[in-house]
Amino acid sequence: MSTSLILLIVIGLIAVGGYVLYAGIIKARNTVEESYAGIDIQLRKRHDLIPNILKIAKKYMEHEKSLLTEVTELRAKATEKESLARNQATADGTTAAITEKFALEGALQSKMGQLMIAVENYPDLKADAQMLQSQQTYNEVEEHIAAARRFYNSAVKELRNKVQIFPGNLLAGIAGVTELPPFFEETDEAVRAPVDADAFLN
Amino acid sequence: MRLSFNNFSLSSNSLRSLRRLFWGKQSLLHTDKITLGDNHQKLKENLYPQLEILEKERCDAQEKNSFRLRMGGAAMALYVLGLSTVFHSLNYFNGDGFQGFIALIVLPGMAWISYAYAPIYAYCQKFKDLIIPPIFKQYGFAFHSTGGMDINRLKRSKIIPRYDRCRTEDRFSGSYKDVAIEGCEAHLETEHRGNKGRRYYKTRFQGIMIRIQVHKPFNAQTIITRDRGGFFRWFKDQFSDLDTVALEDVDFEKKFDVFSEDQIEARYLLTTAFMDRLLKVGELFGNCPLQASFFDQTLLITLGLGHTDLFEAPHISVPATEISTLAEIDAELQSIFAIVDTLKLDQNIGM
Repeated sequence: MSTSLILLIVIGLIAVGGYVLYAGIIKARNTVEESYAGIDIQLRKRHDLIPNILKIAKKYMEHEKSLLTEVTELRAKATEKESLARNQATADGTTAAITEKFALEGALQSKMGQLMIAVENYPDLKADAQMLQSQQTYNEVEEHIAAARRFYNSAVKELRNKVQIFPGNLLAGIAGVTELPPFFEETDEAVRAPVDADAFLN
Repeated sequence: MRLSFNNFSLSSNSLRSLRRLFWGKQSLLHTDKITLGDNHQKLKENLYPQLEILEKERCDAQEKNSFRLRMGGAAMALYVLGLSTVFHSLNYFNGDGFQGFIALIVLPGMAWISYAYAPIYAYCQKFKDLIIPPIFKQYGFAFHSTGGMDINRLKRSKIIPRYDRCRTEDRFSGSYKDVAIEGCEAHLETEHRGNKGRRYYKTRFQGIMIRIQVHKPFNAQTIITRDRGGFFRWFKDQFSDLDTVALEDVDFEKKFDVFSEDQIEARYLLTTAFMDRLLKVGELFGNCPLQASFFDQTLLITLGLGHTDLFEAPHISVPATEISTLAEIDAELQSIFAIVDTLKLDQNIGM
């Protein structure tokens, strides 16, 4: 085999390998966007459900007005952030925006959790058929959100692996991945803190 | 498996029955001890009239078997001696003659064995029809020794292997902790042609299939198959409408591949806790090949036990009134319920 032929074959293999890597990065980036959109769909369901829960809760929870107000405000802020464009997941300077959005949703989830616990103190509310139905639906939605987040984290991990491992890091810029999207992490300190059993038992 | 010789063949059903008669039933459970409880004693008391009748039939069957083996054995010995003499005198042992000699011994031999063990086979079938349904009935379950689930309908699950021949038995159905369960034993085989064009069958699946109602609502299909390596996953990704789902549980990922129509719904069904529980179900059945599929609001689990010896009569030497027999059948049924308990399918919480 002549030297030029060998050289051609090697160049060809490098080109094919490079293309396969490039296509892999594009695919991973698109999967991140798809998973991010999936989270949005589930968050929208939560935002749509919260007003119904608040409406029912307001009838009974006269002493929880501050909690209900906080939930209402957080929901309003979260609904504004809903419009954060999908393709901003991988565009410049939006990692901070996504992190902020996740933090806001985390705070909303935390307040809703407190609300659900507070419902236990109101037997009439707890027994209300509409409230029961809403709670069940809310739990289903939360499970779907958790699943969507897991998918998102899995997609981000895949993208990061492709982009951070050589020679993927050489092709990341060409593939349009200049900033890596963040993982979803639990930011609410109350949720991350270890449970103190004494506080509940005493 | 089929033993065939010159167009005479013995089906694997008969061979399986013979194997059970000679070597006893293979136990599903991987513990040597079954704890006998009050419920087993009560069961024995309730079934005592039938057990007494069966015990008489067992003794009769053993006597007949013993007699037929002795008489048949003596007759066969004389026959083989006579045949050998004839063949030897006619010098037929060379070439094709020897094959003919073997055929003339094997065929009557097999007929003799079938005839000798027929009473035992009849006893075992009667035991199965009389004793096992009441054991299931105490839990509100129906049991039929013949027939099974419609395997063609289960093909939608996408975990049923391709097959040319299908045998099902021991169908059961009922509700445990408000969870509807149905199942059966199945043996699926594919047909092949040997070197000389002779047909033979290869087992694709042999074990139990259990279909369980799922309280969690879902729309997309998710299948959990045993791990077959990266190339299989890539291949399935390219040529199937199901996408690979990469999950967080390392042990689970090592044992299983997951494919789904919907990535989010797959993770909604397969929470980290559920994955852990599914691994435990595998351990419950001795780490036999386990596959599962979520479809049509049910979970289909297939356990490739390598046999279809569940819910069978005990060895002929074991008295029909022996309480441990009832306890073992009860324990086998409990292991099916344990799937629901282990996976927490009775609870309307996150799986």
